Amino acid sequence: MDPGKRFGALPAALCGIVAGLSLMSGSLVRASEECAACHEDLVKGFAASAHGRAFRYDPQSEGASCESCHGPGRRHVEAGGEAGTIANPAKLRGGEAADACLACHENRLLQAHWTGSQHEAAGVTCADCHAVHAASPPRRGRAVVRSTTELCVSCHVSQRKGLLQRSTHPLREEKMDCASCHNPHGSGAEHLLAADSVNDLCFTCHQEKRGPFLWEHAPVREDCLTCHAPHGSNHDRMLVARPVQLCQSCHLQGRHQTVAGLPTAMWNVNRQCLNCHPQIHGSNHPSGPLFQR
Amino acid sequence: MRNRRAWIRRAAPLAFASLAGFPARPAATDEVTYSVEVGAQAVSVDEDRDSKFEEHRDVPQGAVLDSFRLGWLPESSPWSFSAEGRNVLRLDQGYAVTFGRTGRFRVRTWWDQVPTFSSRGSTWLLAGRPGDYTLSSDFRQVLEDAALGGTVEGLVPGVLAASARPLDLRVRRDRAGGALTVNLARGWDLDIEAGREKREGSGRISIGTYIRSSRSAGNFDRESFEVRGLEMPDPVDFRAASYSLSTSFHRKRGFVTVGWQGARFSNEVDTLFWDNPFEAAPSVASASDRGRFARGALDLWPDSTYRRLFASGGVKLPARTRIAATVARGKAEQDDPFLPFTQNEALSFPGPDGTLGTADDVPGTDPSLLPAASLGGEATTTRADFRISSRPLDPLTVRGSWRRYEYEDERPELFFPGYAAFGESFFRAGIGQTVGGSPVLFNERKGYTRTAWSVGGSWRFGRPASLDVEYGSTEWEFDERQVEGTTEDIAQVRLRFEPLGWLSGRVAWLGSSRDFEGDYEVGFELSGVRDFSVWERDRTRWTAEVDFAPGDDWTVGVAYVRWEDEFPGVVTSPSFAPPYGTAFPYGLNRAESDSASVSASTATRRWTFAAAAGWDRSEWESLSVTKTDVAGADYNPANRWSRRQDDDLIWANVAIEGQVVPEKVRLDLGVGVSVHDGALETANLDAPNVNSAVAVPFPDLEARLYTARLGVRWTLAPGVDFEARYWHEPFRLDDFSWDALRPYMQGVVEEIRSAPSDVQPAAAQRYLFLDSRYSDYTANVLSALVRVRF
Repeated sequence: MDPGKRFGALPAALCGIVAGLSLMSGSLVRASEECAACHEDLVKGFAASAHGRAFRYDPQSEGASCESCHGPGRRHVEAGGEAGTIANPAKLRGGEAADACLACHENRLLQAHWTGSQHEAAGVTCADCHAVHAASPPRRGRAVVRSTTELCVSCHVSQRKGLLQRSTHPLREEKMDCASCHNPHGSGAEHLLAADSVNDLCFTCHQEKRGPFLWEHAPVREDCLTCHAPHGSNHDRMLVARPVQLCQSCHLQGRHQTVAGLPTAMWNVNRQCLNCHPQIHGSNHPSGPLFQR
Repeated sequence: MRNRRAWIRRAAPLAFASLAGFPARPAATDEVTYSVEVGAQAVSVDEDRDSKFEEHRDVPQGAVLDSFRLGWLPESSPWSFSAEGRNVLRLDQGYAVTFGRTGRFRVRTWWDQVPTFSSRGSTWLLAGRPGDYTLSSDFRQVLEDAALGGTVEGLVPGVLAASARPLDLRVRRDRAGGALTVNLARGWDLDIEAGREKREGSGRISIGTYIRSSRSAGNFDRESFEVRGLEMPDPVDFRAASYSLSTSFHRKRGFVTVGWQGARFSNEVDTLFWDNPFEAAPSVASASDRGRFARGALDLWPDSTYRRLFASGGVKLPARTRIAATVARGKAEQDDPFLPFTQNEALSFPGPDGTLGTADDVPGTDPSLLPAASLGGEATTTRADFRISSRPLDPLTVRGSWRRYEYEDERPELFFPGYAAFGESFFRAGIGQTVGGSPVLFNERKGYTRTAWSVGGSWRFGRPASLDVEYGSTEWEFDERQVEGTTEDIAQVRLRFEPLGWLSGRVAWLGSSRDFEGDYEVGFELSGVRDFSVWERDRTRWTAEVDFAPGDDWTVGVAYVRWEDEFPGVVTSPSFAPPYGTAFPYGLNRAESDSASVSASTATRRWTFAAAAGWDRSEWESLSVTKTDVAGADYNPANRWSRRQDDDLIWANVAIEGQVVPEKVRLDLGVGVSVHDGALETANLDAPNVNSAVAVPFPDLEARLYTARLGVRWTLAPGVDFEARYWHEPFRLDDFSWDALRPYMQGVVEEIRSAPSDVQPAAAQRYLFLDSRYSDYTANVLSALVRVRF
């Protein structure tokens, strides 16, 4: 039988059942000791990991052991450690790959939206990002690699360009990382955002732009991404295009034509349209209906 | 795929760390660990500017304490503690302390600084009290005389440049906070978090101070404009606080979390007053001149508050089915006092008969005469999302989701008698809004509701392949926009394959079609025609990825993404004259992008190599028309012109890390390259009959960043390393929008009227900017560090 299928057939409550039985029979210690006989390095490093400490000290993980994730190990032991005689979640595919992790994590807020999420639909598994046996990184307390951003761009290769573009968020300086905005485990919001909407997310750092203002600019109010490319841009201020191109994609006022030429005209230099309409995110001035005050 | 990811996980950190210059993290194997990186560095940044080099970082000369960390993680105790710091005593320093007891509670506190260095600049404005810039009357008179005489450009190299004071346009963000997580009982957690933020410094802000004169009967196109741009330091003195409290109950079958969040933003300098450099004294408007102002006011960000309640829950059902839902309701409020319409006491108001009244007739400078003293604005957001996923069979997963987000704009509608646009002495009646055919000026409501649903599923054909399909729709409803709403239908298909252990890949397609509902309302003088965010749109996106392992230690990945938006609809107007027709796709016509990348990595026992490179291209095409005074055809199609913006980016980075001498000497090398070329082209579709519609070439845009880091680390003794680092980073930028006015960012542009119908007879422009820009730099940093670890 395919060990993956066998493991996949385990109910989601595997963790609790096995843990309970292990506790009753005292096999928790035995399981780890028996595993350590062959997998010494893994078991030793595991003790200092977030999982290892939780298994030992967290009452909510009471009774957890290697078998909580790998399933019963007796057959594996009896087979002399033969590969394929024990489940290995890291080698599974599809929904089964996450079953072992979700048995404990599915009902935590951070991972609650994993099932059905974009990452799950794309075939990403927990073990693609997490090293569950590793010692916990000191700063994040989760078994991820040294920085979240480096992990994300290892698959989202094209986003790596943003680290070097003319304008970008302070990712290179490690003042932010991908998880500052996204919840890779899933979110009810679009783009795996860790907020109710794009704008609500942006306002967590750019609170001054939340308003509401006396005069509102509809595209600004609806979606910051209409004008900004948060992963990096070739243009100043992370704009998706030069301001004059961007603004005139909607605004065709005859008196504000860019006159096609004149690179030194007011609407082509410096902040371009924003030279005269600086409050484009909204104005609270009675004379600012066109965001000029 | 997995094979590739595993190798990438080993190699990718090197690439990133090499670019970012992260210190290596000490291994936490002992109960108590301690590490410190200390040394000295020499920094040289030359050529034009160094602001871009230190945009979000501080790279000082001299002694440095790069990082320290103290950790206590005993195996024999549930308690743990860590304290760490980075970039100690620099403008980008950060510290964190964490302690807790596993399974009981965890406390984390932090303090972090994020610098934003816009640029250096210069100004003639004198800073008085915060948010108030003045100029001496004599100086302004000189400027005004020069402006009227058309000699500003001659003044700048001499008088203006000599009088300017240097500026450091730098903002620093200080963030401090703490978070507590407590396990109150089995399956019951409590989370509390609080943070404070302070942002201080100077940004840049612009204001238009144009004048209109020679006004004759009829349209604006018979007037003369003189656009006068002024840029000032933007005083930034923000305070923000945020709090959150939530509690979670979780069991094997499900969970529920409820919480509250709050935030408060306050701006210590919420108004910017300034003396108009071009006008020493206000002048009264007349029938042919809109008058000028000597002092202006700009309303900066108002104070605001925000509160949010949320609940989230999930439950497991039979057949490996799960339902999860989140609801949240937030409210933002803002009630800062209004400023008066203007600071200009010479304001005049056109009466019903067209004659101009006096300042006594209008509520120009008296805020008590406004329709309200403040906005009293409120906005409520409501989010609800629901997701169901089920795996009834091992290879089959089905899913569905529904989501609704509503922005309720609860601001009161305030009706104003008019406004004083830039501070000139002429009170305008409105911006084209009408009620019952009469002109009005009021704040339209910008509320909206967005509802999205999708259904999808995937089937796994054993290990080699899986197919995923999804269909959904997103619908927007608007309170006040050019359309009543939009609906977009979206379909996507993904095929993943792994036919061989060393080969995997993915092909995906997404197609969508968006249309609007109701009649499209053409707004103010064609403004808002075909707003691309609500217009008809056909979107296509293709993705293809292949990963393979040509050898036991090698992985290679290749990816390509093409994305294309077409805006197929046209707008019609009776003023579009034959023979060109009456329907045109004005505005954004097309936006597309291509992105290709390749990555490779390998590792041996001593060496690791990782490289990635890519090419990106994006293109925007739009169509514009110049307004003229051709009778019956203000927007004569002869004066159409197209504009295309094309951006190409080539980027690459390479990282090599290895042991030159095992256990003794390590080498780290990281190289990053980013090359951007931008083109901006305009073209006439017909022979224009006005000068202002004639297309001429624009200079190209170029940005180049090269960064290379080399580090050699010697292990002097167990736990003691010496490292020598060299970092070389040149940056080049050619952007005509900044460079055209070098070196003083001021200028005068005289536009020549080619025909009586031309839109801007004898128009002129004069600017006084801050000389705020970043440009070329070449940085060299040489560091010597000692790293001690216990």
